Amino acid sequence: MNTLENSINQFKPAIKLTKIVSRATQSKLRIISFAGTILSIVAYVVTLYLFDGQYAQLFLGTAMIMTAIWLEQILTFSYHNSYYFRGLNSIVGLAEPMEGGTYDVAEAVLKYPNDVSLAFCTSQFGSIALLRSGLPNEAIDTFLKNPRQKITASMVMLPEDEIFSLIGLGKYLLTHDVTFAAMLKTAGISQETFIGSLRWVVGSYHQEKRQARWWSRDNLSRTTGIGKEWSYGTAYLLNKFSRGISTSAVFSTMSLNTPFAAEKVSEIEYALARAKAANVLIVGEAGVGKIDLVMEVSRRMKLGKSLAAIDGKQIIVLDTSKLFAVHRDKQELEMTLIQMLNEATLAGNIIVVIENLSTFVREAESLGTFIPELLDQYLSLPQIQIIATDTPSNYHTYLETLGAFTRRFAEVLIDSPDQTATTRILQNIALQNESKYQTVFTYGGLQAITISAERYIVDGIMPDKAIELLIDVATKAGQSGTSIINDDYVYSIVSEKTGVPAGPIQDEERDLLLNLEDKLHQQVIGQQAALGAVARTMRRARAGIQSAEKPIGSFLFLGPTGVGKTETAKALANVFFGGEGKMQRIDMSEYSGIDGLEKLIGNGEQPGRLPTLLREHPYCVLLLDEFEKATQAVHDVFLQTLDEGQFTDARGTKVNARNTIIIATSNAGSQLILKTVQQRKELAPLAQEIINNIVKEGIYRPELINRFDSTIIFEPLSIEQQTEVASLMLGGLYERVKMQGYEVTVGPELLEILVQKGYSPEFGARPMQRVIQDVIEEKIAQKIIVGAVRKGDTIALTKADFTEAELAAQGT
Amino acid sequence: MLFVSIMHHYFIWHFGRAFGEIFHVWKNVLWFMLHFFSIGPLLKSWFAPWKRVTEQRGETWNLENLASVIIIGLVSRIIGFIIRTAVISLGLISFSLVAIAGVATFIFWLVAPVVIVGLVGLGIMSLIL
Repeated sequence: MNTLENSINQFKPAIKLTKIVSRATQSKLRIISFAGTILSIVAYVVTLYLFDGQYAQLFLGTAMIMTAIWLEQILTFSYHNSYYFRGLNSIVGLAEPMEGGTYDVAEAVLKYPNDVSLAFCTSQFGSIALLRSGLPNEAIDTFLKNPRQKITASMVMLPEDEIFSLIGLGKYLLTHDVTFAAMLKTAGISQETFIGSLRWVVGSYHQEKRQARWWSRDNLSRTTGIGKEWSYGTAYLLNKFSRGISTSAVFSTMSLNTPFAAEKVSEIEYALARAKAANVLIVGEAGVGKIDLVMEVSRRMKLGKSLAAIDGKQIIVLDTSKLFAVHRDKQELEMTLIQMLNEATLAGNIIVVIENLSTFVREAESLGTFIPELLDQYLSLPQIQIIATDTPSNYHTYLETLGAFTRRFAEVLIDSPDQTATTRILQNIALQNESKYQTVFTYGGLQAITISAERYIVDGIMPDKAIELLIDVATKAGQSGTSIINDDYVYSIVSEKTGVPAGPIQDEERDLLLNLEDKLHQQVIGQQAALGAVARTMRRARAGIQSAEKPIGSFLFLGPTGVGKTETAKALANVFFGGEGKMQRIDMSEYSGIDGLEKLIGNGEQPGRLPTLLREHPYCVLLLDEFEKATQAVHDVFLQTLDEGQFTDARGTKVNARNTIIIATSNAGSQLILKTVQQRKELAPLAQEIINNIVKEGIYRPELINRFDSTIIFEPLSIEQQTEVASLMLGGLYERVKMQGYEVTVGPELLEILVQKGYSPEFGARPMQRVIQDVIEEKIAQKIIVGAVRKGDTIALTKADFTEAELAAQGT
Repeated sequence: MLFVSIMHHYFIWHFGRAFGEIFHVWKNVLWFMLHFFSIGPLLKSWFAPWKRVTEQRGETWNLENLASVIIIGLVSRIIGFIIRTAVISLGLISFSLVAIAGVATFIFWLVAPVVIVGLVGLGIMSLIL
């Protein structure tokens, strides 16, 4: 086995050479000496013929010396290149078996051969990778200064048949240098983040190197050969109704050398290379980059990099809107289409791209043309091929039903890339934006962007929305002068943008969560058990234990009316989203008819109430009042929503409800609750019995109840609690009157009477509201109108202010 | 001392590994010539009609129709043949030039150190004399 020391020794002279003359200086010298050579030769010729050979000898000598320098520089440069590019694999046409350390490893380790960790941390790319991992400089300093077990280059055994780049060195340190691993761990940097940043930094450096090596086959094959299409015909009509493929590409900047894209591109190529019926149907959500992949296939064909069977083919995108704009009747359209496809068949190398196939089929259908039948004969021909694209929902609704037609296509399914793939796509885009906004992204920052985009950004799909978020964050950082974009910064921007607390829990929020019960109690009287349960669930949700593919929280509130169910929902909106206005209420009794479902999720023409509401307020407390009154079909929508955090509306689009707290309230079982309380039994142990009873009565199905994070039972208010409620309500009234310029006080005796009048275990606090309105508000109004009080006065109300009749007549 | 050690290492490379690398680059550039002038595809379709411009044969047999098919087909093929021949020739010439340049490079490489030293010597002599 080879050691690192042995492997890098061969690089020593080449690296020493750059210490004397750097590569940049070498390049300059080469250019200068070449220019000197040419000038001296010209001067020599000029002096020889125009000035009778005077000084000619001098210029000849200079020319010779300049040529010698130039040639020497070429040799030196070639020598250095030989080592500089060693181990850098080429994608097309491989040269040599790859083994041993690379130039950059040698450059780093030769500086400190007795301390590989120090070499890594101080190397150009190692230090950038550590910065991108989010490791503070002080941590590196402390690590390097403190005593630790040192690893020398002779101790590092290299893997066989594998290149040992800086990535390899980083991985080696993680497993062999305990202190190094501990330093990362203490700084809260996971191994995945460290390796990810290292791959990012070293990967983009290698990419640059590859581009500099013009003599590699990768670079030489970047040109298109002359005359490859001369043996094929031209599809004139199709060209007329086509448009550039790049006009519909989403992120032409997408790094198509990610494994995700490469896999899909080769899947499409293989499907196209089949002998018969080599048509492809690419199914993926809008914006996932379907056309980008087609574009990459087209690019590879042009460069001769694709499979031999499809070499020399030409991809043309059919402009369907232009087609329909020109042809408004069946006969014209069909004639053009047939002529176009015949021509393309004759040309022999055409691959026609039809975007959103189902839309095209339906639009043609409105003119009376049945596209599947028309296309059928062409789909089996080897001379013409079709690539179609569509979204999954349209595919299921319209195309799958066509059976035989769909079977003529090989399906390529494009899922949204997973988190690692998205982060990798973001890497290139981050680099482009860094110089523009004078800022640096850490790898953790990119991960945070990926996670937040997935979790908190409702509109759009991945990786598109992640890219948008990245640009957004970079712009904000540029404006505020933030130099490093790490995960905290990203989460703070996301929170600012959405109003939802994102990322790790901060101090302020920690207090809030720990004291959530108290916060809720400021607005809701009594209900110790209920509020405790709500708080516990919310803490679980925020701690990130709960699945990200669900709403933030979901509750079923059971109990008689007027006991604080709605008030609790308001309090949650206040605490979590910063205002009662963030509570959106839907009266479910409106969805009790046969048209309930249609009203809720819409139909083909009208959008429903729920999708509209969630699109307008993606971050809210969603209060579903009188939930039991809705139909079973409506309940089923929520079955899905509670389970997956999203549902499909009538148009087949997914609607996201993952940033909402869903609260369904219901009076179901309140009779039983009342009875239990009247019998002075403890409510908590009987909760399960109450729920069972509700299920037995068939009000809710057990699977629906089980989908809620918790079912919470609100108990009727006691007379003491009612007094508190009355005080709370009067507090609100005092505020309102104060706005008019008066002060109000209500005497204790009067308060007692109010409570007695307004107390109702069955209807809770509702009658109390009416009593206050009818007795107190009425009296204040009288006094103001009569002119008995002036602005700034205190209206002190006591029992004596009211006649018996006034008190007796009210509140009933 | 440093200079001597670098020089020593350099000469080992110059008369060893360097030949393999020059050969590799040479091979790449030769391949590029074939690729750029599409020699393979053009040879295969040397006599094919130019951009598939041909006349469709009618349903029924008649002399006029046959004549036009033959004439247009012939013209199309001749045009295709001429243009392809031009490109193929150009490609082959370039390929030969690169091939010769490669051999020249090898020869130069062998004598390069001597050439450089010689040029410096001659240059200095011209300056002095």
